[in-house]
Amino acid sequence: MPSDTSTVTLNGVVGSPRRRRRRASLTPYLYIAPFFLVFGVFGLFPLLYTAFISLWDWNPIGDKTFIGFQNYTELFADPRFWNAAGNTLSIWAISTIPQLIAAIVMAAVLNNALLRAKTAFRMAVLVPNITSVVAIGVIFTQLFGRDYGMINWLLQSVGLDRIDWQAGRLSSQIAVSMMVMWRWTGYNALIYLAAMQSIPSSLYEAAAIDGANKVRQFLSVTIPQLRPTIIFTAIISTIGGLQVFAEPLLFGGQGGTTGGASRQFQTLALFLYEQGFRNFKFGYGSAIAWALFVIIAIATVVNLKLSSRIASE
Amino acid sequence: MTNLIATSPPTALAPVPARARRRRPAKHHRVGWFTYVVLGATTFLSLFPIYWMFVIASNDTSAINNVPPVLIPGSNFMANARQVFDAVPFWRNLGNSLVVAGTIAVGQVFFSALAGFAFAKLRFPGRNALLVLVVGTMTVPLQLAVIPQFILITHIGWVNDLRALIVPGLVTAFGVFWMRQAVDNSLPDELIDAARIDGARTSRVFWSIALPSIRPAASVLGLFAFMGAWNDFFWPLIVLNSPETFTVQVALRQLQSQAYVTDYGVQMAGIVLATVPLLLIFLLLGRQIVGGIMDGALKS
Amino acid sequence: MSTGRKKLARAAAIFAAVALTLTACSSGGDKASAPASSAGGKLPTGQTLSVWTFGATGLEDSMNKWAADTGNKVEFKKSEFDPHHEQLLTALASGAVPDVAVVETSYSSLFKQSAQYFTDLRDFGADSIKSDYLDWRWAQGVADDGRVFGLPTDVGGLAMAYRTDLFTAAGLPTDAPSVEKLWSSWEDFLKVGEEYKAKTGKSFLDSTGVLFQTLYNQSDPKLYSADGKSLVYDTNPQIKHAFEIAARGSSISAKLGAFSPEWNTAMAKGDYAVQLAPAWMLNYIQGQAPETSGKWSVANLPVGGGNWGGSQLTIPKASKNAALAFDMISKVLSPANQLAVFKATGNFPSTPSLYTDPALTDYKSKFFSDAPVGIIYSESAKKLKPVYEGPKERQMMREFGNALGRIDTGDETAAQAWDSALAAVKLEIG
Repeated sequence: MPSDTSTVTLNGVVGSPRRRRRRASLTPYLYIAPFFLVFGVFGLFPLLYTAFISLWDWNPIGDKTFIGFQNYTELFADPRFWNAAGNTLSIWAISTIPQLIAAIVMAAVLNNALLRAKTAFRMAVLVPNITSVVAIGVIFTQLFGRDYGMINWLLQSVGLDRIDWQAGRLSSQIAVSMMVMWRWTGYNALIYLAAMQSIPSSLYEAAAIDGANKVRQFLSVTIPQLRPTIIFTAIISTIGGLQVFAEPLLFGGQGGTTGGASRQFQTLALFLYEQGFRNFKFGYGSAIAWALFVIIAIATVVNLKLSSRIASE
Repeated sequence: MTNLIATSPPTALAPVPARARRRRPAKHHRVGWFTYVVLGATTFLSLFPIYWMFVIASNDTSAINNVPPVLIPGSNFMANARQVFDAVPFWRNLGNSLVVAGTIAVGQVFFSALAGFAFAKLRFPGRNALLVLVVGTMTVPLQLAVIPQFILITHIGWVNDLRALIVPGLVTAFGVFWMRQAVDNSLPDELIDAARIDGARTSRVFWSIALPSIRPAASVLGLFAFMGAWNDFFWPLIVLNSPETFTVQVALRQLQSQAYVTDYGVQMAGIVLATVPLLLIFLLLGRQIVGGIMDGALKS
Repeated sequence: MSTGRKKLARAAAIFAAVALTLTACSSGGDKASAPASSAGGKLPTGQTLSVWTFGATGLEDSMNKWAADTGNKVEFKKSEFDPHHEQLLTALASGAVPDVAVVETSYSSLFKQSAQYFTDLRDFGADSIKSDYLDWRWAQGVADDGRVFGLPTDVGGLAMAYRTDLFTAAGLPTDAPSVEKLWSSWEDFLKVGEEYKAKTGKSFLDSTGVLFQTLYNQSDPKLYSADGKSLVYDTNPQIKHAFEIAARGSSISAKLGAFSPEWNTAMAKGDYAVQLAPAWMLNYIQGQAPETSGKWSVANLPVGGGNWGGSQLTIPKASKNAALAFDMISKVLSPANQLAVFKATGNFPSTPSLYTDPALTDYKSKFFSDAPVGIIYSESAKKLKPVYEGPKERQMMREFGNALGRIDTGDETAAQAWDSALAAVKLEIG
């Protein structure tokens, strides 16, 4: 090894001012090259190529014709698209809002320091998260079965009517949302729990001195302190929630691709799959993908705006 | 190309009130009935579907379609499992999933650590612009570009080949960002200076100093990468088409859609077989996984 | 390059190599070690043919037997009906194909358009066996340019299976001639169903979709005009009539999705009394409800015949074992073997030479109370005429089925459902 460390070795590594003298070096690029290479080929390139394909009438085993923005004009006039967009948003709302509320309550309870078997409880609430989405799809499809499902049996045994869960728009979306909720609530609870544990106790002590009871403390100390975490989880749930695919596909059984007979629970991701890989309209499918990108981008920006406003409050 | 649904790039960047990170003393709460009701209910709701999966998997169809439903496990599991093995090469599928998820986990950690280290500690022209690119694409759901990805994979000739799953999964923008934060947080410049004075090169700093110091963050990333790849469904469903290349998830879907064995007992037996390995790992590593998620929330 | 960098590069290279080796080992693309050669007439052995089907073709046993006889192996992939055909399209586009794939008749016009992705079976002498098969069934595997891309499997001549025990319980006759006298039209059929329901409180039918499918298959023309040049789904009175009859059937239907697990269960439990049954359905019933043996019989439909289903066996062009695959499909679809398959499964032969063969016409099925299924289905098959089916047949039928589903759930009236079906079809084919 060269003895003069000042001239070679740590190319460009941030060090003391004496060493800041940068040398043009390839080393850093070698470190980031694998990432950018693979990411560029399998991530960025397809992303841009989607835009290109969306301008074509593109059948992978047939003709390819350039048609400009026709896919988009068709898409915006297509009731199936608006239906799927509406379903996506409502499934997102039904699954995310109760999920995050339930997660906060769970976290508050798990945060109780006197609790015995803490780790056991934490593990229990995380079990759904390590269960695969296909497994969840099959289990819940059975639970929500019309004729032999456990939930209908419960409803009936307390004197209520059986529900054809898959048939109705709201009921089917509730069933799909339950799968999403079941999988992610415990997970989000653990994140909230971590955030709660870092809230300084002095805040609670001060509130207690002011005479606040536990519920009041929860509302006036815990929730405000959790705000950034809540916004974060909301963003993540939004990005994921807007792409829901496997749950409705599996729930629908044979009619899964269209999300039921009336497309009552077809999400945008399913619509993309249907047009791209059932009807083999790659151009139209790509237009759907771009529309979904835009929707997710808008949702993320709205979330961020919301978060910065709340943070500045 | 992690799964379309598996939402969360792990939590990790969860911003957390930065002030005090110590635990506060326990005296605020007393364990009351409300606590036990909530805990009891959530534990029940979390575990019941799993229990019920075993119940269905171990009964025959006629028992499953009973009203009222069966609530205790039966003795039919082996028979159902045998039908699973008849329908799909299950062990092969399990092995495929292990290879895919394992390779992706190791690869993602390694490549992310490399890039993350460079972004955190090396200076080079274009660094900031590239970092912005990484962060900017973090929330873009690239898996939606599935159509060109499929065309690309077709051109490479990887359709029905596990490489179609593995190679694109080796890197994620999130992983790079995560590792950059980890290096930034856990590797003080002084340590690097000291090493450099001892004559260490960049690669040595990376191997001997950076990597060991970010081991906890790396294992959390690896864990999430593994779980994400294990559960991935959308992309494998499109690029895999023969039973020998199926991952577990696609094989389960295949079980669901076999016109002649659409039998819940058999389907559920398949699901039990696919879930039990993960449950066992979870029982062994659960403490670390829970810790990882919570640490993840606190870091960065 | 400094040594450190080299080490790093080496580590990365090793890692990549390991990753690729691991995946190469487990990739499925390497099934055929030596491509079959059609030259010399000697067929290879030790090969594994991959066969994709939906549900059961009834041919699995024959294929396995062929494999054992020839020293090869067959691997099956079974998927649901639509996913199977979708995966086949994707496979054709990507080149990662099976050696043999089933294409059902409602999809055959769609695949006809992509016939260049299949092996032209004339290369293996398919022309010489053409006369073995029904002309119209053969034609379903021939593209516009004359390319033969598939050999016909069975014919789905239509009849009706019914539960004799449930008929008795409802005070209905159980022998086929008397049952057939109960109705001379589909309207009568519905009336009997309503009486049955009133008397027993149980459903008469499994699904209105199946009823519609049956009447649709009696239509001539169907959704396309006879020359295939225009669409008549919205103007063809026979289709409208089929839809109306099916819609009226909703009140006596168990509202089950055909081929769903619930449907299978209901079939076994006797939750409904009548199963409209193309010949291959007999195989399905025996497979799904073995405990109902002897409780069924088979009668003719109220009116006419009709064909539902049947498939072609195709060999995608990218198959490395086309010659071997052709040997297999031509043998399992030979008249002699189709007779054996019929006896084992009920799948009705597409080879007319058998229709006068006593081995077939005298055949009675124990499972179906010794009903003369041989004569019933051969009479039904003789009545069949070729009806044009277009490339979007299946897509359109799905929407009609969905609309009937909306009547079942009470979301729409019959009239609304007809309108929404037409609108949905229009979007679907647009």
